This record gives sequence, C-alpha cells and structure tokens, in this order.
Amino acid sequence: MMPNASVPRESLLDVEGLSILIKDKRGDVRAVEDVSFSVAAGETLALVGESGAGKSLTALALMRLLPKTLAVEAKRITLAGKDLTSPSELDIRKVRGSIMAMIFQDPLSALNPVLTVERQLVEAIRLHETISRSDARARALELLDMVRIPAAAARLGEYPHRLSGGMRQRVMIAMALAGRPRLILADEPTTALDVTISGQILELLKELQRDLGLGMLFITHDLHVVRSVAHRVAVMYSGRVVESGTVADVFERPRHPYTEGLIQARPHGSFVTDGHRLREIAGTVPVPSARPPGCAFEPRCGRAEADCRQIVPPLVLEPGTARSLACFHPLQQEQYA
Amino acid sequence: MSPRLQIDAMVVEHRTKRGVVHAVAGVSLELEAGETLGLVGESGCGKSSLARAIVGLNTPKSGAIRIDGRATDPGRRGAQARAIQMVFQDPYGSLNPRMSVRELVEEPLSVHRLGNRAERAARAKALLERVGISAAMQDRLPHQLSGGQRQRVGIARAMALEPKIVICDEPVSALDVSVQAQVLNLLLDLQKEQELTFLFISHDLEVVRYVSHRIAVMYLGVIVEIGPAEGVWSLPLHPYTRALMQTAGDAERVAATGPMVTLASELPNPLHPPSGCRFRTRCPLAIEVCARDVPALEDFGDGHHVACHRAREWAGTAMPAHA
Ligand SMILES: Nc1ncnc2c1ncn2[C@@H]1O[C@H](COP(=O)(O)OP(=O)(O)OP(=O)(O)O)[C@@H](O)[C@H]1O
Ligand SMILES: Nc1ncnc2c1ncn2[C@@H]1O[C@H](COP(=O)(O)OP(=O)(O)O)[C@@H](O)[C@H]1O
Ligand code: SF4
Ligand code: SF4
Ligand SMILES: [Mg+2]
Ligand SMILES: [Mg+2]
Repeated sequence: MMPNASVPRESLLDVEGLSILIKDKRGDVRAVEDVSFSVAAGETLALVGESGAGKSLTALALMRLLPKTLAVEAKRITLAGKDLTSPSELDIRKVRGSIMAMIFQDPLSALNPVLTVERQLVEAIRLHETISRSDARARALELLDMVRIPAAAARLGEYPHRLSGGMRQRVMIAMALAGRPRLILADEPTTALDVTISGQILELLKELQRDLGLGMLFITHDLHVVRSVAHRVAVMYSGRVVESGTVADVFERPRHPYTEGLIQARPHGSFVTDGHRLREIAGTVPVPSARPPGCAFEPRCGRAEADCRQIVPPLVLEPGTARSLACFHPLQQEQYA
Repeated sequence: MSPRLQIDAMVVEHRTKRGVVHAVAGVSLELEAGETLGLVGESGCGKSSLARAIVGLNTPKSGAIRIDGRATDPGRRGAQARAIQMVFQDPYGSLNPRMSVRELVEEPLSVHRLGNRAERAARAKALLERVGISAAMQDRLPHQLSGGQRQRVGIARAMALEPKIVICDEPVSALDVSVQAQVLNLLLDLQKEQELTFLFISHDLEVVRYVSHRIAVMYLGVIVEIGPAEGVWSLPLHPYTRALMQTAGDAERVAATGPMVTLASELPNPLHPPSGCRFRTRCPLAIEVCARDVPALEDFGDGHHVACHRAREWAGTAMPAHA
C-alpha cells in the first residue's frame, strides 16, 4: 500500500550543503557534494540511486561513522532541534542510538558474533537508560515482540549466526530501537533478503514507523521498495541529489533525465509478447575522481546542450511545487506520457 | 520432434557435515529451440544446483539430459559439451583475474582446439566487439572493467563455442539498473540472432516476466508450477506462486490473484523437508492431506502445470486467503 503522502511536516532532520571528501595526496575528491534534504517525524524519505552514488556515505556521515580518511563538510545539519553541523564526540555520542539509529544491509556485520541476542540487547538498552538487568531483560523481550520474533523468550539465548537472515534483520531492528530513537537510518535493510522475507521486513518497518511516529531515511536502489515504503524520494547520481519530491510526483512525472531513464530502464511488461527493447542508459556512472566538469550525467544524457558541459546544475526548488530539480533542460511535465 | 533440451528426473544432492541436502529433488523440464524458460524461487531452493548440473559443473545423483533427443554423456566431451554454456551471476568470481579480456574469450576456443592461434584471436576480437567491448579495452584485466563490462566478457566467453543452450544464472542481479537494461538487450539480441535456448534464473520477477516464454517456480528442490509466462504471472494457481507474484507491482493484477498474503516464516531446513507438500509449513491454505501426500504436477490446460492438492478449487477464480 502507498503510504499517505500528505503527512504534516515537522522537520526532524535538516541537512543543508553536505559534502564528503575523500582525502588524497593528489588532492581531495568529493564523493558526496552539496547534498540537501530533510526528514519529518512520521515520514520516510527514500534515498535512491545506483551503486557508488553516495547513499551509504551520506548516512554514515550523519552518524559520524565514516572512516578517518573521509571528511564531512556541511552548511547546516540539525536533528530534533540540536545543531549537529560540526558536533563534538560527546554531542554525537548523546544522539547516536538515542535520537538516531542505523540499520545495515548485513546484520552480521553489525551484531557481535560471540554474544547472545540477550547480551547485545541488554547492553544496548543499558547504554541509553539506567535500569536494572532484569528490567533490561524484560525490555529486551518487549523489543523482540515489537519486531515480531515468534517465541521471543527462546530466541534470547541464540547467537546471531544461528538465526536466519530475516530473523537477524529483525534482531538488528530491535537493537536500533533499544535507545528509543526518533530517526532511523536504514541502509538497504532488505537488499540481501528474499522477496518473501523482504516483504515481511518492509511491512514491519512501515508499522513501527507509523506506531512510533519515527522519521526514516531509507536507502535503496530498488524503485519498487521506494514505492512501497516512502513518502518522499531523493534521487542521487554520482554524489549529488538530482531530483527530489513526493514519490507519486517523481515516479509518475519524472523531470530529470536520469530519473526518467532509471524508471524506463526497468522492464514493464513482456518482451516475448510485444518485442519491445528496454531503454538503456548508455555508459556507466563516473567515479568521483573522474566526473565531467559540468553536469555529471552529461555524457549519458540525451538532452544535454553546451551549458551542461560547463556548469554544474544546482538543485533548485521548482516554484509552486514540492519538487527540487538539478537540470538545465528538464523534461516538461506534459512531455512524460 | 524432440525438444532442444530435455531434463529428466534430475536429482542433485550435496553432502555436508550436517547431512545430505536434497537440493534438486526430481526436476523434469523441456525447452524448445529459441525458447526462454524463466526459473524463479527463493534463495536456497535449488536453482543454481540445477543449473550447474545441467552444464556439468555438478554431478547429479540421477537423471538424464538430452539435447535434440540425444542423451549427453556424463564426461561431456566434444560437440555435446559445447552445446550448453553458462552465464554466471558474479562476473568477478567467474573470470580468472590474471587473464586479459581477450585471453579470457580465447581460452574456451583453445581448450576445444578450435582454429589456429590467429583465427582464435580474430574470433575473440569479433565476439568482444559484438558484446560491446571495444578493441581498446580488450587488453585489460577483469578488475579494470566495470561490473557491466565484466558481464559482457562473461557473455562473450559463453558465446565463443556457439552453444545452442545458455543457462543464465542471475545474469543481471549484480548490476545497476541502467546497466541491467544494456545486458538484457544484448542477451535477447544474441538469442534472436542464433536461435538460442535460455534457462533464465532470476529472483527479479519483472525481469523474468520480461524475457520468458514460460515460467517455472521452484520450491525446496521441486517445481511447483510451470506454464506460459503471462498465465503464471497474472493467474498463478499455486499458493506459493501467488505469494511470490504479489511481491511484484501492479495492483490490478495482484488483486486478481486473490487476497494479498505475506508468507509467514522462512524456507524450512533443506536437510529435513516437510512431508507431503513441501510448502505446507508456510501455506495459508494447507489442509490435512497436504501433510500426507506429495502433490504431483497436474495439467490445467495450455501447458500450465501445478503441484497442489487444492488448485482445482480455485482454478478460474481467485484463490482464498485462508484454508
Ligand atoms: N572509505 C572510502 N574511501 C574512499 N572512497 C570511498 C570510501 N567509501 C566509499 N567511497 C566512494 O564514495 C562513493 C560513494 O560510495 P557509497 O558507499 O556512499 O555509495 P552507495 O550509493 O551507498 O552505493 P551502493 O549502492 O553500492 O551501496 C563511491 O564512489 C565509493 O567508491
Ligand atoms: N556446494 C554445496 N555444498 C553443500 N550444500 C550446497 C552446495 N551448493 C548448494 N547447497 C545447498 O543446496 C541448496 C540449494 O542451493 P542452490 O542451488 O545454490 O539454490 P539457489 O540457487 O536456488 O539459491 C541450499 O540448501 C544450499 O545451501
Ligand atoms: S543538466 Fe543537461 S546534461 Fe545534466 S541532466 Fe540536465 S539536460 Fe542532461
Ligand atoms: S498442496 Fe496443500 S500445502 Fe501444498 S500448496 Fe496446495 S494447499 Fe498448500
Ligand atoms: Mg551503499
Ligand atoms: Mg543461486
């Protein structure tokens, strides 16, 4: 089911002008460049784009979990009224886990293999609340129930590797909820799962979000998943947001040539019945160190003109709409049939 | 006339420390020349085990493979070995990292002693150009290519021996959406040019629907439904197929298949598959007989076969949500 797009917006996370620099002797390279977006309480913003677009780095930058070789620059980052533009280690420790928490694609990388589910949950809970062990254990059970793990009490003693992929993902979601966060950063939480299991996890995340009024930044490369979980979407290409708006607007009337190309490249029917070829986007995404000088999409874009080769198109809010666009020659609304 | 490829009662087992995994538990399939059969099912259901047995990378416990009516020998030499080739999911793992792109495509030709050195080089060059790898890129090593380019090399390698049948095991799953379209178009062009038969494995149901004439659905080592692609896609008769197909878009079609169901729990342990219908532990429509008797594939007309004790109850109407 499509989430309701007209959720009242009370900004929970505001990101303005976020860049991520890869430090290099031969000169720094911007993996992510001048990215801006916001997430309201009770809202899911999908960050969608192909491999290497900068989606994961963006989330890791917010959590300040980037490797030392990468640096963050931002004009402004605020989370639940707190200024996190250049936070101290203490500031970040106060919000990490308790105001924002992250869910990863591979739960095994985020869970400790030598500790039982109970130990890990209890530790996560006691990191954020001063409660007794037995109260923490009760809360751990409650969390496992919340993520719909059947026979939760019996699972407490399990080690992560003994659980199936879907169960592990549920445990990781329970861990993320341990500090009662208001914002969840979910990086491809269902990509490694089978469709039937991924459907269960998406339903769970949607329910939790609704019931707890969470804000969610949901990273994926799967347009289907965007449609099913998100209210709004930001499309990233080679380090930048190129188009953003409500899911219905952007998917039904894409205006950036890349967004349109992504949607058209997916199969929409049967080659066997009507013989139609898929629309390709020629070439590949440039790596950050070899981006063309103007619009990064220019070498692959059928609408490019001379200006696209010289100037980077800025992300601009379209007057009178909720859509932002970074393109000099976008598709007109009526052009998209 | 005999089918291009005939798989008869194929059984593949893997021995592990914890016991024997019955990865493929008796699968029979027939594919015509120029036909694409899509194969779908959850990870671990046995798709790759079947694929690898067909190309001779696994030794099946039992079963037969016939090409144009002639049984293939287990050692598989000469023309028989060349007739079936495979395109793998992981272009990284399937290419020798120390060989140049040109050498990688020449290799199958020299293994089969086809042509002299100059002829092999010329053929590799032409094949690579056909799949969109320009001469300038042909001296590169695999790690110097993008994922999509590596997959093109994998396809050129498979095409080098002019196969009749290509087993594509998740050929675009590791690629970005924009590159998937390039590779799918290439595979379909090659199929048309050479009347290739494809067994096309993918977990992406829209991709499978797009390329396939027929679709087969596998669950825990057995085929539970097989039929014309549009029928299986729009009017599935097996409860498992319904659950799978409902995960892929298009609200109207989903409504026609019956109420939305989300499968509880996960694939059972393949070491100990459930008795009777293997799907019964997750089936919202299971009844007593399902635990006792193994359902056989039954004909529902138009080549549509389903293995479910209850399929007749909802054939021609929508499937209920609960037993
Ligand atoms: N530790 C690092 N050092 C240097 N470059 C990096 C590092 N991590 C990521 N990058 C580069 O930054 C860019 C963005 O990477 P990121 O992981 O954010 O992509 P993504 O959009 O999450 O892609 P995917 O869909 O593959 O997960 C890529 O070009 C990547 O190669
Ligand atoms: N080499 C192997 N050794 C042991 N078990 C295997 C091996 N290959 C596959 N299996 C098991 O066989 C079953 C089918 O696997 P596979 O054919 O890879 O499924 P799929 O391709 O549908 O994901 C799974 O239970 C898997 O764990
Ligand atoms: S700015 Fe120019 S090159 Fe970039 S997407 Fe728009 S039209 Fe294409
Ligand atoms: S045979 Fe029974 S358990 Fe199996 S799919 Fe049909 S109704 Fe479900
Ligand atoms: Mg990523
Ligand atoms: Mg496989």
